[in-house]
Amino acid sequence: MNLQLKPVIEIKGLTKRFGKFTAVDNIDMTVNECEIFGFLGPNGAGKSTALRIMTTLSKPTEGQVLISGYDVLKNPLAVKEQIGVVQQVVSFDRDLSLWDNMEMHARMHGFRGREAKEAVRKSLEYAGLLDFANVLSNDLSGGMRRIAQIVRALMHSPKIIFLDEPTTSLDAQTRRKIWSRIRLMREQGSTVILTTHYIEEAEALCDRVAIIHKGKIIAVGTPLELREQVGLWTVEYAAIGSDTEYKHFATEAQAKIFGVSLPDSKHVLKIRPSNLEDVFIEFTGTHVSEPPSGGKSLS
Amino acid sequence: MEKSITKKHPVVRFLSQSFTVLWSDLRFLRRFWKRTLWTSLMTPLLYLLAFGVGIAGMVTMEEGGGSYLAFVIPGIIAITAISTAYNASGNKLSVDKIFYKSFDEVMMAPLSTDAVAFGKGMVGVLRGILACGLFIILGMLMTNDFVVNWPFFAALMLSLLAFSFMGVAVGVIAKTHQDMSTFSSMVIMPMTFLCGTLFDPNIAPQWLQVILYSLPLTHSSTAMRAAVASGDIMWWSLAYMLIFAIICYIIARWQIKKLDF
Repeated sequence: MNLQLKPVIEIKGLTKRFGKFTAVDNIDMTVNECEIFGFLGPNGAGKSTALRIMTTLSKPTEGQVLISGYDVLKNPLAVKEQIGVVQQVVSFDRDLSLWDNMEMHARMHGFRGREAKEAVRKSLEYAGLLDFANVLSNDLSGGMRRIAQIVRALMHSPKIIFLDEPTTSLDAQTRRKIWSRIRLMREQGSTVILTTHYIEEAEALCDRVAIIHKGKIIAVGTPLELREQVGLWTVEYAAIGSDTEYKHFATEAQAKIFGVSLPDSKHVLKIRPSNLEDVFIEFTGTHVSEPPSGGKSLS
Repeated sequence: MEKSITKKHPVVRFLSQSFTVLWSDLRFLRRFWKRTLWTSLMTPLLYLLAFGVGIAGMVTMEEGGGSYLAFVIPGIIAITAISTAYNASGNKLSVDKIFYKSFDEVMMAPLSTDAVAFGKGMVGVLRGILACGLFIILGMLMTNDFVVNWPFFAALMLSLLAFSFMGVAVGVIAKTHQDMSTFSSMVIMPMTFLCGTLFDPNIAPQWLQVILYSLPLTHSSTAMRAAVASGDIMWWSLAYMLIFAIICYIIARWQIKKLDF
């Protein structure tokens, strides 16, 4: 894959406070063109809040966010012309049919008449939902609504696509379908920013990952770079009756040597490649699936 | 298929974007037109039955003052205008914002704040025209004393605009659906009964008249009634409602602009 290093998202000193609670705390980061960039962190870490600011829905307390060179506060209309957004929550008008929701989106992005209808038809056909076009969106299944939300966000061919927890609560088959669609978006020239608390998703999809915890970015890099920071191999071991312990090593050989050198009171449970969960635990002391203590859940 | 909608003339762009905002509500109306019309007409029909038919027989008007039915119909139309316009704009917007989250999609689309405020306001105006239009026809069938003219329509349109934009402003400000109900109970409902819709505000005590004439619905009902009764144009009332509509629009626009999800 040929990564171009032209920045399309530049964030400097971004902070968002709700009263005394700081949801996003002085974030600096850059996302490059044609990159799949992931925010990995537990619920309430500040991922969705950061995304809402990038998509103009929320306003930063401090700092600057540039999308394709446009400031989200000073030129929100230009920003909105660049982006497509899939929110974490289903955002359909439940009193309208699936078709009407899709056509509304087409119209809001400048399509008119026959052009709008053709764009809707193509999107629903791609999603395999053409037969459900006249069904009230309230009556669609969660998976159908999610896929429809994704193809809706892509209908106007945005340069940058934001996906907030795109596969939460979906079955494995639908999740894989969405992953291949996200990869296709990148191949077609879009930049993708997604939030997730699924380790597997971040590893499978993202070119680079930012690990976010209590509103701060604590590490950024490719999944491999992040794993290298803690060690590419992990030994899981435990004494009888006690919790599992983890130790990380640069090579598999080092991990195996550690395994055989353990005292008799401890035994190896597993020697395996490290993953982003190990990285997260190493940096934060908590699991990705645990909400941060004392934090207000924002997701 | 990439589109850019910022290259059109500003006025064309504003109108086009406003229509786009209105479009989803037109689709809603098309799907649920029977239910929507019946809901809008139920309250004024009950007022008409209670006051126009029930109480009318007990009320003696001043000599040359026409029938109480002809007196009360413009008031009921003013009530229909306020309730339909406010509820159509405000309730739908608050549901879209709080429950469906579909208003987020509008806010993330490249549409100007003016187009969003105006488009959302037009929902109330349109539904108000439908409900009041039917009621006007019904009123004309019920009594020959009820004749409409352009000053009446001017007052009606200004009322619809004012209360639609009020609905937009309240719908945007409301954080829960309870906020909408609270505003309705504390502001809309008292105005419905007190603002000269069912009685002449000039018979109220002086101190109460000061309060009543500061409320827009009083000007709406008196302007409509004067137009129907004598063809008089209540310029001051029309100007008051125009200013009120502009203020409501500015507040709605301001609230949309400062929305922080």
